[in-house]
Amino acid sequence: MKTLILSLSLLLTLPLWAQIEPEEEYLRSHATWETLTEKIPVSGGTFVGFMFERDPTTKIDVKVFYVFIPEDAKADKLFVEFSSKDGRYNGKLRYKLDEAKGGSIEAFKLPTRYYKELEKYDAEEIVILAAVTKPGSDNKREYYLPASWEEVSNTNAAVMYINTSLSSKIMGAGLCKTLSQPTVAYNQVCHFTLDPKTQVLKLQQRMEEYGSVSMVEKKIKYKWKEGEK
Amino acid sequence: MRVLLHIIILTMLSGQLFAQESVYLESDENGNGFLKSRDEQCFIITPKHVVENSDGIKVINRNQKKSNATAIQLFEQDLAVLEPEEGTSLRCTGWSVEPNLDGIVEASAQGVIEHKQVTGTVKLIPVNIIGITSEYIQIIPQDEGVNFQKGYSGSPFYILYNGRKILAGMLVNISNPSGDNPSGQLVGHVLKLSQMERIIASFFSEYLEKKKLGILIVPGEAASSQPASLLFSGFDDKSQYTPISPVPGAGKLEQQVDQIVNNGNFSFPASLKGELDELLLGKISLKKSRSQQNLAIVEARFTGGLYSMETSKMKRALNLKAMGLKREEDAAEEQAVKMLMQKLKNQLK
Repeated sequence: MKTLILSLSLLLTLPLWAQIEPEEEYLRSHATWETLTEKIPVSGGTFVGFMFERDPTTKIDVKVFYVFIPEDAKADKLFVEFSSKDGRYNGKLRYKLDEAKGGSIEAFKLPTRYYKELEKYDAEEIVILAAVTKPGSDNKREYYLPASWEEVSNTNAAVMYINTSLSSKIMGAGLCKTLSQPTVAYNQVCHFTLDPKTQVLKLQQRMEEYGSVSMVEKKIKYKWKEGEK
Repeated sequence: MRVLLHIIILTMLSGQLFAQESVYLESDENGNGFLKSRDEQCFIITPKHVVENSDGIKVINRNQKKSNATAIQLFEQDLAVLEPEEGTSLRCTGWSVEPNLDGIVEASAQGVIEHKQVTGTVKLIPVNIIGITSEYIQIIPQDEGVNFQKGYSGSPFYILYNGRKILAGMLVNISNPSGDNPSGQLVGHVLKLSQMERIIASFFSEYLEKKKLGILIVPGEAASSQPASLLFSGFDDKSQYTPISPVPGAGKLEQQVDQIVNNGNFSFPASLKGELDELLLGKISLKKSRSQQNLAIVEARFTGGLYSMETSKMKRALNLKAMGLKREEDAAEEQAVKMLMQKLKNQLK
């Protein structure tokens, strides 16, 4: 009987075991790693979310998220930023990857205290930006990794959520689309296909004013199923 | 149409557009900053939250040229001063706050946010002023289809006044719409330039051989307002003092004002001695009554003194009073406090 109870409890807790927990040291030194605020500081980066393409209206369970972890990243650290489109929620967490299997999409725990509030958001209203950090740096991003709020398989379709006042496109893909208001943290979504050969994303931003055109190009590196043809 | 007209007027005033150049800042977070020179060296002022966690800061100027900058001072309030690397081409001026800026803001209903974009070009967002507090100006875009978004922190806010473009503050954050804003647009909070100058005064006055004067005035009997800002705005380039407010560690001192004023001498903390040369410290109290014609009479009284930080002794006792007489009590109080602060300024000349 005891063995049966032990086996059952092991089975019930198994999904939790499979989730990688945030780095304890980071949580200790960053007590305010997440904020949900009415007064929103209006600073932020251009790249806000890098995710597998999913149905944007799906309801999400923010307790867990999934990231593709390459085989060679086990000695590295994963820095993940979560942003809500209305700018109210922002969270930044770091994870050690030594427990990751590598070469697959893996589950990570998001220990948010705002679970109830975040439950109201759709999949496209709260996005994930996951990146492996540069050696020796706390949060400087070396390369990005596609993430998702739900388990994914057999897909190369991805989206990048960006924050810009300029017309934008990803080279080799179409123009980025403007999202509906309120768009405080990000206002455009760019669809593209993950390419294991190039593993580089080129974002071109263009502005036309008084007959002259200004262009800005930003490149980011990502990793996706190395060696796969 | 009104928005278009606003932009045309601003473009016509382009000669002044460069009076205070702003820059695009790229770090872990992106934002704007504007320039101010100190002793022929150029610095960038930006909200602290734009740069505080960054590994490196890039500055993009009007020509889209990228250079590095370093945060050299972070203030407790949400401001930071950055030093651009040598050789960065920036149009830097040593601007100062427009005299009577608060009056100009009060008299204005509109303004414009001038957001520098990553391309080095400027995006103008005409806005309506929907509220004013002692520290912030609350604004919403005139175009209901426009909202402020991340990356706008640090954008300068200008007011057009008598054909001049006047720098009035810096956009720092936004909040959800309130009852005053039925359109449902997000409200931008602009930190007033006069407040910014107070916060960064200790940095930009270092090169001047002026005495640093801390101002700590606490509200006493019946007084609810904090008049330090009224006094602060009266110091100009000719003044012998650079005013510093808030005073570092003011919380503890506030509780000891009576003791300090009554004793005449006080052992000020060593940290304060390093920050200030002198301290104007006192209490303001109000006495309210009504005249036979039912007009509100408010007598404002200042009790305090001017203290030397070096000797910890009172240099001069200051006991002043002023009267306000108006139909409304609030207006009488405002008049009395303003007059009292004017008298105090005269004593410090």
